[in-house]
Amino acid sequence: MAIVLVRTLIIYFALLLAMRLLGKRQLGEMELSEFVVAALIADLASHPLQDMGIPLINGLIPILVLFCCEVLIAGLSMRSIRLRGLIFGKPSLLIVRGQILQKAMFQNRFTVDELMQELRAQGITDLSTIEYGVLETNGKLNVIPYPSERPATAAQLKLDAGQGGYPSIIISDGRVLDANLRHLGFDRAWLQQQLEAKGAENPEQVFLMTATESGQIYYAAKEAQP
Amino acid sequence: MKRELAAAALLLLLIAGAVWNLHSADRLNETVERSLHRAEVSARHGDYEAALTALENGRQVWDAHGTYTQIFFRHPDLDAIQDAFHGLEERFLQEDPAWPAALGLLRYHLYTVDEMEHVTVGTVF
Repeated sequence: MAIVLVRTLIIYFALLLAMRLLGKRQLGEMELSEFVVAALIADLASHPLQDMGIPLINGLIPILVLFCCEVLIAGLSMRSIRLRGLIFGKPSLLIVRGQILQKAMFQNRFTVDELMQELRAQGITDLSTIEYGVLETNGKLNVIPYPSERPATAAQLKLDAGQGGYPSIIISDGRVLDANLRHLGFDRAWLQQQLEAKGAENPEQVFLMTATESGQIYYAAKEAQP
Repeated sequence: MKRELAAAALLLLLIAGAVWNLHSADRLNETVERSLHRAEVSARHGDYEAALTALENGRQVWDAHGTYTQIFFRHPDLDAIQDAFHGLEERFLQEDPAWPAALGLLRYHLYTVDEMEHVTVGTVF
């Protein structure tokens, strides 16, 4: 039992490290080679855990080899457009000015049902409103409507949209994130002023507080524990 | 670029490790085989005591590499080798004329474990 425990811990941390170093992409955003590596790694890691007769190293070495290959391929494809096209493929235009390119659909094994499903998922029901439909290398269909069909922007409408800015979390579940506070150019004294303005005595009473560089604040008080 | 270089270095290290493992397995097998050969010659001359001593030497060499073999070889294969050592020892103790079969079985298991480390069309596929 202890052997199973130790083996599982080793495999878990090896997998965690490998996946962490491989990158932050979500499953749905993976390129083909990344998906293959992720599926293979998960399967390979399980064998030494299921069968104690298999040396642990037989599970770890394939993980390391796949990790190295993936890092090398990803690095090389960053530098070579030709290699990138060879390994990850190229985006395909499926719709051009409202017309479905049937040959491209067939080449990509993309059915009409799948196309319509993707369009409905993006809230599009009228194909003639689409200028371009691009099947990306990760399998996602991106749709670009005609300019006349695109939502109007504040600039087009000549409206003042106010200042933007990235909201950083400065209090998370009662804990002050000093690094974020400093990054925004504020300090604890400023934070205390903001808390008092919101009716809180200290950070422990706050569930979530975010701020932008311009000082725009979102505040959510912590609810009383039942 | 650093990450790619580290990955390439790690890959080269793994390849070097695989080559080292191959040589280690060969060396271990050859050393044990020399003891088995001595045991075979002694047993053919009816000197079972000398055969047992030679076999014990081979077993000690094998057992001394226990950590290495446990890390790199499949455990059921290692169990089979231990059983084959024990089987041959029993034959020598009983001065059983059927010992060549037990010796053949031990050699077969040792050869299988070593062969598994060699990169050949057969082992790869």
